[in-house]
Amino acid sequence: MKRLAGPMSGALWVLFSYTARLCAAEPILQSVHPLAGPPGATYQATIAGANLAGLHSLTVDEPGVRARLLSATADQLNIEITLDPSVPSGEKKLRAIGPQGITNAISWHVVAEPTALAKPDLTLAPPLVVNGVLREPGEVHTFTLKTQAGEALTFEAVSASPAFDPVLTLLEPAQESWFSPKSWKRLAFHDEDLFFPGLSTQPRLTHLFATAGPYRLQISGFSGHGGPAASYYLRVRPGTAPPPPRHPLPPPDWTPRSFVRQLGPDWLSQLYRRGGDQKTQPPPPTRIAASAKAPPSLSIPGIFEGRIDQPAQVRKASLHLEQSLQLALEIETPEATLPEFNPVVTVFDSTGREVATNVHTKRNNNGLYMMKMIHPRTTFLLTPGDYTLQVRNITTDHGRPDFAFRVLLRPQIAHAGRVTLPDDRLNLTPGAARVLTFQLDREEDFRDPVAATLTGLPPGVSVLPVADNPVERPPLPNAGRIERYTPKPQTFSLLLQVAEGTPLSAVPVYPKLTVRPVRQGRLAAPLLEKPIPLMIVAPTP
Amino acid sequence: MKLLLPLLLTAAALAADPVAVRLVPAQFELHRPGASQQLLLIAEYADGSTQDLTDAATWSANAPAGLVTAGGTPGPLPVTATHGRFRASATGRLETAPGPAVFRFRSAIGPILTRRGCNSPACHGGVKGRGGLKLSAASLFPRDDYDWIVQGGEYQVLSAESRTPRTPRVDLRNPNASLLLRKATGTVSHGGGPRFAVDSLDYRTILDWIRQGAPFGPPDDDASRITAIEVFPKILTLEKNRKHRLLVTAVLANGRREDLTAQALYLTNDRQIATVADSGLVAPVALGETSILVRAAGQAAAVIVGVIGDPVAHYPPIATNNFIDEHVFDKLRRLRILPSGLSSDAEFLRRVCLDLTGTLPPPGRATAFVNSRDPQKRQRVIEALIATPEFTDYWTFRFQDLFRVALFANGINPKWSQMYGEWIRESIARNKPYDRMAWERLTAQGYDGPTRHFLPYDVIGTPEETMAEEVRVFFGRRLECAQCHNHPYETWSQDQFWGLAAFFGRLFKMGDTGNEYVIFDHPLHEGMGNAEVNGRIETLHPRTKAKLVPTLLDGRSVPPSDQENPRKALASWMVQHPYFAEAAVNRLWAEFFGRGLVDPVDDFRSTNPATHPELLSRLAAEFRRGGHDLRALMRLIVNSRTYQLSAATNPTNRADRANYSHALPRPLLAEVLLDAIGQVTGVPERFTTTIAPDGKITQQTPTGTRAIHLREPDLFHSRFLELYGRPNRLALPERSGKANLGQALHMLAGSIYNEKLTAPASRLQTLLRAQTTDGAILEDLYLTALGRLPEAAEREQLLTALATQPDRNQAWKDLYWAVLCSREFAENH
Repeated sequence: MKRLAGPMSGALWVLFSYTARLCAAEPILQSVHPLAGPPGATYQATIAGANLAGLHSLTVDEPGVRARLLSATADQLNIEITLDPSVPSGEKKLRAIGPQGITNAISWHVVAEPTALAKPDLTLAPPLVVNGVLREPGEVHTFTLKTQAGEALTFEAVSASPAFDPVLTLLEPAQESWFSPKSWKRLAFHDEDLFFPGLSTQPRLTHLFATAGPYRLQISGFSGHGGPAASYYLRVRPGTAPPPPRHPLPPPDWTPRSFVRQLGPDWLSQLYRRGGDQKTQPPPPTRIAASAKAPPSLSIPGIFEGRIDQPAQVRKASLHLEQSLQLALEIETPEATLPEFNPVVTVFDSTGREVATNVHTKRNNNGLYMMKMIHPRTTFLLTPGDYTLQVRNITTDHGRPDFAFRVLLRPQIAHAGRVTLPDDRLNLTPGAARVLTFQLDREEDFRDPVAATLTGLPPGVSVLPVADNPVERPPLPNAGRIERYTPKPQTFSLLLQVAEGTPLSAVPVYPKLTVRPVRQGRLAAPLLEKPIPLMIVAPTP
Repeated sequence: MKLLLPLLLTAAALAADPVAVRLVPAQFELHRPGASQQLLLIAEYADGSTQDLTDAATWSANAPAGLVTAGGTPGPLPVTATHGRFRASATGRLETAPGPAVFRFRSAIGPILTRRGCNSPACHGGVKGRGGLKLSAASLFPRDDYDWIVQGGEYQVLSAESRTPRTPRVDLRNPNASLLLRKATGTVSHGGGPRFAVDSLDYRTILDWIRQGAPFGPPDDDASRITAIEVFPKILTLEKNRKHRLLVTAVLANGRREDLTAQALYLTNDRQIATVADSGLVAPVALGETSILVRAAGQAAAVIVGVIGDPVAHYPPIATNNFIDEHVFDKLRRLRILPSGLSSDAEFLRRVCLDLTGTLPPPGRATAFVNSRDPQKRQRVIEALIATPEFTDYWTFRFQDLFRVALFANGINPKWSQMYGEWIRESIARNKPYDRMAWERLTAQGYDGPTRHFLPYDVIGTPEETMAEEVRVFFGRRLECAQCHNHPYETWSQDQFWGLAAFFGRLFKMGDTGNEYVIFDHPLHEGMGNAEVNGRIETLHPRTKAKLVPTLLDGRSVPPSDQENPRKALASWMVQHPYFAEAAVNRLWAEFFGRGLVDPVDDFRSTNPATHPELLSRLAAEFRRGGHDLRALMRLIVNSRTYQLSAATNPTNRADRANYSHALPRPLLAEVLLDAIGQVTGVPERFTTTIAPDGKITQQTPTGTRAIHLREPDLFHSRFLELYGRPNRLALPERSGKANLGQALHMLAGSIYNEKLTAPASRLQTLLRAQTTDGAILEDLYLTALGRLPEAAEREQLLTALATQPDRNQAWKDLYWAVLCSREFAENH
């Protein structure tokens, strides 16, 4: 449900016509402050951003949430948010609308705890959520804590923007305040659990206070970062909540190339469907478990599961092939994952020769250095014979009970992989055209045509297919067998043509992009269905 | 308190007879025909000094001039020497039957090449040899030397093959025409000039050898391999008019000892202080200290020689706090140097605060400390300082320097340098044993903090560079020279270098985006490739092209295993090796004294001896015994009287720079100096990391961030810190404390020395606004900056001068500036 509200909604069109001439570029939202509010609250907030002057209303895609735009300047919106008591906690999204178009969606949060605004003398009494902005570079917010001996607290900071990375530091009075009676000593520090692509950079501290007394908690920006968009909320909870797993969430878009996608019983069915085949209902792969005794026998399709719970542990399965097969090897890490657990899977033939691995070896551009990358999927050909499949961690020093692996060996299935669409909104101008491009990963020799449609366009907007100028890249001489480890990406483009004289939009419309494979002359089930907010806006003066 | 010297000594007493004489060595054995042993008669005096009486003594018949040569039937070989009323004896034993001496190239020809300087690093013992002939330094590898002489050929650094056709340097048919002899005697042109005469003993020895067919002799077995040489005495104190012989002894792998005195090459480091004859006789030239380098059988050692002056007439008893003082004061007494008195309380407090925490003492603390009558106040303040957060901050900074925490040194990712820096900080805060820190750094795998130090410039460092850095950090030794050739000044061979480097030969990173590198040791037997792509790695010896096997310096190889981190064996060996503790204590010692017992701190070598070898050994032993506890070691050092001596000198120790007879003023480290200026002015520095194109600062350190808190010097730019010697940590830091023109200009016109004084929130402006009296401001300035009150004369002169100035604010600003620019402020003394 889309809600549109604003002080100017009655005379929207008149004002819009006037302000449209003033807009310069696409409006961008960067952060909200306060970042979090409790259910049942009505409060005012500011949104930092760029090109915001002239925006007149907000759109919130959430039941029980109302947002009203109070005023707008070039770099700030003043808004009012009203939350019904029944609004569930969690992340919410918000966009703003104006004559210059629709903004990106920005995140903010509804929290169950009482909230407060950051101020210098604030005492943190859990449960509490504190909202603040580190407006200046180098700014630090310091809060006081009064704890009982044996009390445990959990602190979590969430930033409003990926560009702002908060850091938490817990301080205690220095036992020996020799240099200054006001001296405080660092007790604990947390930036993020582990800095690694795909993992959260939000800090989280759990501390058991051995002694009662005053403590301090500081929040600052990594490397002294600060600015109007450095908005955060700090949650203080009693007790030691279990830490979230060091495990990235599976990507929102369907993707086969992630160590954390689930190789469930229907995985093969999903692959067939992604290939446009709705009928094939493959049986689930047989499952075998790693054993300390003789290597279990793996059939195709089959899943080999186990754990590397000791350093330098090696898990093996045997494999017998009666005929040559084009195979795909997929690896899932259901619990710990990269960079702690880095599963290396290798297939050896009966002579001990390596015939396949999920490690892609290549040379760097000048050919001087060998580079190795670990992948969650690889494809290869196996000829008839006996093989051993081996799983181990890349390091010899690390092994843990949560180093769990799931290896699927299956015949190759031609299918469409991930479909990615970079644009999250379309602000079009009359008389102009704009190319909408998305990318399709062709997996395992998937060759079928793919069709894309954009439905629900407003009057005056037409869509045309575009043939992209293919990017001509010279073959990489040092690339190794890169085709085994990466899909074949293909870009598709649609041209959105807006006729001269098309009326400007007062509100966005939501045309839907649908991408489907074409199988045996018929459109198959969609690979992607995505509504895209679209507005017709006046051209930039 | 113990008294080191219970006696008051006088010059008259020193001139008296010795209290005892003894023969060195007191026991010896001769194991082969032709072997010999030189003995020295040493007189010992009441003040601990010694004198060589060998030439003045009367020797038993079997030891003319103290030299015993194998002969006769096996059995005891008692030797006596008499000097005046003193008589000393040594117990010798002949362990070999009579017979001709077995010829060995190593013991017959090698020493000639050494003594005549042929195989010195400046000549044929250099990297590539000289004039086509390559010899191993000091005949470390006699087999190689033999081959190059007898077979001929020209050495190549990167290949084991000869560069030119092989022409022997000996002529077996016409021995007198051998190039080896003709070059050495100058009969033909020789760049090194004549090394010996045609009729000399060395000439005849070589000629006889060639006439006999130039044999190599029986190969040395492992047991008879020379593992080290020892020189007596290790430290020689020499009165102005006396000479002293050196005695050189080879230590064999089987534990036996052989006299090499006559086969060694002796070189003095400073002819202006002492000279040394080919026989090893040391003669004084002028007062001072130097060292004498001794090279023999491929090994090298050094002797510290102190030429001492007249005895101190009334050398007082010197109190000692711990064994450090016993070692230091004992040497000072032998050198006839009087240590300075104990530092004043104010001097001590400022020094120990800066050394332990990098922070000036607050004025109130300084006053209270000086006024305290607690006899234990120094020990108490040391404990208090070690418990402060500033201590953790400061030593985190020092070890981040040593371990090279920097943006570019740690994968060009500030998150990674933070991970690495946090590992150091936690280690310091928890007082992690230093051997554990070293072990974790050396063996790091995966994605933890210490793994990031393997990623300089975002790539895995080469095995040789990585190994050389670890050896330099944890062993205090520089092996880099041995990378391309056998080390010219040490016994490190190219094989040893590459054997050690091989421990890092499989170090690899997984990932290619620059944000995800996981460090691991590449399997040896797996390529992690496939039939088409060979992903295997191997490390080859650059000269022989042989596959390298990880081998410790002691020769033990560690068989590679795909299931084992090879660096674990290396780390376990390193942290238990004597070098490790020695290097660690020496490095910390230098932090407190401005120079190491071995100096530079990471240049341990036989030719750069410790000023106090026994003290170094004892400190290392205590460090090991105490579980490699850094805080305990610091506590030991700063509690010593030696550390607490005054910087004020006396006539006997004014010239002393290496024996710790007085505190040496040391320039404050750039970061500490900047923090101190901020402390005195009350205006802390702000450090900026990122400036947007529009000039807007987007990243800046929080107010109160000290320079010692900055993790990455290459991220937080500061003109002041660069001028005052902050290293960028892209290589192992070597800070220079030398003044430069840039510093002078910065003092005159730089923001640090000027703007901070006029800032409205500055300490000075606050005091002036509060109508504080000149006397009170002066006291505050002195206490804050110098840790002391102004002396009466200083106070009077300065207050008078201030009173005459028309502009009080400007006058005070000038005085503050002058104090900040003074050496007393900018140095730790």
